[in-house]
Amino acid sequence: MNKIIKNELLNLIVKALELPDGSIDDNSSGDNIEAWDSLGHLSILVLLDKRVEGKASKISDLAIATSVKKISKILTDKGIM
Amino acid sequence: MNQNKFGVKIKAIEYHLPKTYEDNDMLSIDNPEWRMDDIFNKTGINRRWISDENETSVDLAYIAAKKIIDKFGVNKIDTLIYVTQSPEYFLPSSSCILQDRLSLSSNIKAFDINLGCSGYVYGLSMASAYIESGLSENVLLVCSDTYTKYISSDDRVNRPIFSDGASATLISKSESKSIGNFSFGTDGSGFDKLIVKDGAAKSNFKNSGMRPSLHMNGAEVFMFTMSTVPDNVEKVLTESLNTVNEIDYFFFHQASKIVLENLRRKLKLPKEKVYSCIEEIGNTVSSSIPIALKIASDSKLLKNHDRLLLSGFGVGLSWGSCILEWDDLL
Repeated sequence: MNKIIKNELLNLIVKALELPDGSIDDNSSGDNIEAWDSLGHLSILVLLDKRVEGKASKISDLAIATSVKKISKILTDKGIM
Repeated sequence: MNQNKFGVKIKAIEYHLPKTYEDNDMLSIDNPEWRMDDIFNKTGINRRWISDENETSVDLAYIAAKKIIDKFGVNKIDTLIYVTQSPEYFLPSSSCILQDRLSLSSNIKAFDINLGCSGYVYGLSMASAYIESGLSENVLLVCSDTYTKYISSDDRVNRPIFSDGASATLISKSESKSIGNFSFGTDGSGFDKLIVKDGAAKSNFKNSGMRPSLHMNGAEVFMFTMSTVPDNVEKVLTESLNTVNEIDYFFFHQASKIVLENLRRKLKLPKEKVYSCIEEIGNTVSSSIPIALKIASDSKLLKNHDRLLLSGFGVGLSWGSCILEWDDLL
């Protein structure tokens, strides 16, 4: 499995939340993106899990990581990003 | 299958839903800001069944159980197991109340199991153990919940998912063993991911004057399910010397469409092997698996000797899976 890179993560979140390209950046989170609600976060988790071949669902902290920064840090710490 | 002194089989399944339902259009009227298309895409649920204000889980259970009693009679039932998380009282057990309402013999064993979505598999294991040990011959396993009483009308997490409902399953001694192996798990560190906090000892038996309410962190429960259930399913397959190819149908707890689809993805299961009836029934907690089995049986999908895998998971956190060889119902 190739490591996920930052732009890929941003595009993945855009796709999960069905937003226009470029809508998500490093500062995006559930607090400032309306579509990033509890259902939107589930979509992000599913796409992320598919991308990293099932490794994401073993990382419980991702369930409460509702910002680009938090997700990035967790994936980096786990060596996935 | 293990060789045991006594065989065990499911002889009958019945269920009952309240007469009132709400569909997604009705939810939209109450909550016009909700994106119902998006909600439906995730839940796969369009209809939920809602008990009346004065209708309890025992009322629903009575009707489901009575359907079995009417076919089988009361005299041979020697054990009543009642799975619920919405009892009529803190005490006594709902099973005792139901024993009396059904006019079951006073010489029976009756007890409650306080579990949610894993409760049916636990109940099957208890029934099997009683029969295999010779302590029982005919066990009535009743699952019944009224979770909607814990859910407010503006609760966007829980209201689109949970239904009220009851099921009754008759498990009897038989020539051959058709239930088992079982595999279970528990992780109480997640006790607060799906919880009704108010009204019991931890809140000094006080509440805010409102009804006790259900709190669920959907993402955390989803991640628990995805990280735990596939391993548990693979464990019960391995221990029972089965492979995915040897299982005709998988009956997972009917949690939501996104859960069912992703369990299928992670376990690499063919779509046609994963049964779902969630759209018109909703998530009925511990009754979701027996209701799905009954609907699949009535629709002639299930045939004698089909090999099934059942898996329940959720509040606790708690999970359990088992293998079941299907036999035509009464």
